[in-house]
Amino acid sequence: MSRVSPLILREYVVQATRLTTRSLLPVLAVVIPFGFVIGLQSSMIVRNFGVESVVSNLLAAVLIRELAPCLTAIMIAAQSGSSIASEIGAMRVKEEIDALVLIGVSPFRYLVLPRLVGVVFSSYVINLLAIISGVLGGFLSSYAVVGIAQGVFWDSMLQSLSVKDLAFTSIKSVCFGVIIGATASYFGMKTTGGAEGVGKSVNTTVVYAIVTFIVVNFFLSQFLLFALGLL
Amino acid sequence: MKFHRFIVDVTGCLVRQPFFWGNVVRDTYQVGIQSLLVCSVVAAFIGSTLAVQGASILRTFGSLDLISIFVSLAGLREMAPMTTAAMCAAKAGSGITATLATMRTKQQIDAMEVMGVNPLAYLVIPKIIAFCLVLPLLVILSDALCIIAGMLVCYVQFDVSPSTFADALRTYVGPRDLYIGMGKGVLFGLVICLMSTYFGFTAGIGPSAVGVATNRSVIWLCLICILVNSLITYVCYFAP
Repeated sequence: MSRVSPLILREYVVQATRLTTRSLLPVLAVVIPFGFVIGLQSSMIVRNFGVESVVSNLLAAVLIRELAPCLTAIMIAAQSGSSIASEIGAMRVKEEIDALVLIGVSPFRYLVLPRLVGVVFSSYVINLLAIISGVLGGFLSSYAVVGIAQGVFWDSMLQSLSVKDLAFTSIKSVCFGVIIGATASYFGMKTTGGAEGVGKSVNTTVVYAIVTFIVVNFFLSQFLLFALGLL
Repeated sequence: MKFHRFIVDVTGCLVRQPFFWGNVVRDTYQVGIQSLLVCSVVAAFIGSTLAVQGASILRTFGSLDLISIFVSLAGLREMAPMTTAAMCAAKAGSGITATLATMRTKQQIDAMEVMGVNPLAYLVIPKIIAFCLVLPLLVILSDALCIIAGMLVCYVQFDVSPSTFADALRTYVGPRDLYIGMGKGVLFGLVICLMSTYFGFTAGIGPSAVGVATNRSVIWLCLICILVNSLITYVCYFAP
């Protein structure tokens, strides 16, 4: 096994922290209002049937299984994906990548892998934070606006959570991270044709990343729901 | 140039400058055709995912027959407009930013000004009209595809007949939902177009500037679209 140089190790840490901190705020800014609206929608619907304790179950299930991973992935594709594509694309256009190859540094190891791992890490961490903040947003609406009792909300939520849910959301977020990182670095490396090319590859990266992960999401949901016995 | 200054300039152009009808036709065609395929694919898959997830949740309460209501309400009111906006922002919006930023970098916009053509009137105004025309139609298309895909999945996997879906649509969804969806579309179009052209116009010089501008444009567009969607849902359905 070849020795990993400290320079490359440092690159992993730098990319992971940078990508996580950059995407964190946009994701939270999206998820909290979304949780608020979902809490509102489901409280209104559930109230007609007179089972208000179900609201928090519904909220947690919707957030954990679908919304938090998907919203996180959209925002990470928009932020980290496009910034990776534009960085690598600009390096390709300015022939910096050729220079790297010339001095014997593998661009795949030095540029692509640290970013890929960084995106996967940030997708995983931010997804968990998104779930927590989304639940808080939903709690705000159903407690403060609709008036569902605090104890009822938290009790029924804690009852409904299980390890299965954690596995579900973790697998999803890691898969989405891989999709986004791979798409972004692929289109970044493929960039040709100057400034125009960089813009184009950022554009295609975002579109391909989002479409791919939404298509994959459907099959992943099917598979995971069956595998974990939830369907 | 600040964003509010940009908006003031654009509004001024709308009143004073000549109108480029040819560009309106070209931009409408481009925006529509560019976003048509991605919007349809994403809407169809969102609809089917809604059906699967909804079934798994509703089944725990023993009320699988509510699935038709869940898919049509969640799809029409929330998911279809939001995904349409996100896809248009990613595809057409960031494409516009990339193009305009390239024009800025190559000083084509300055050349336009030298020739006495107002770049805002020539480039931005037709795009605004194009977006406001196209996005409501795309939202309606996404609504339809989302519900059809959900219906299909329910029929194949859970034996829920399409007639149940038709009943749910008739009782729980009104024309009001469609109108609100179209209104959302117009607003999304305005926001996407103004922001993407703004980021294109204010791009710097050099190859990395185009990438940076496109990056910034995409993240702001997705953020604002999702927030606007939640806000309109709140105002239209829950405002006291």
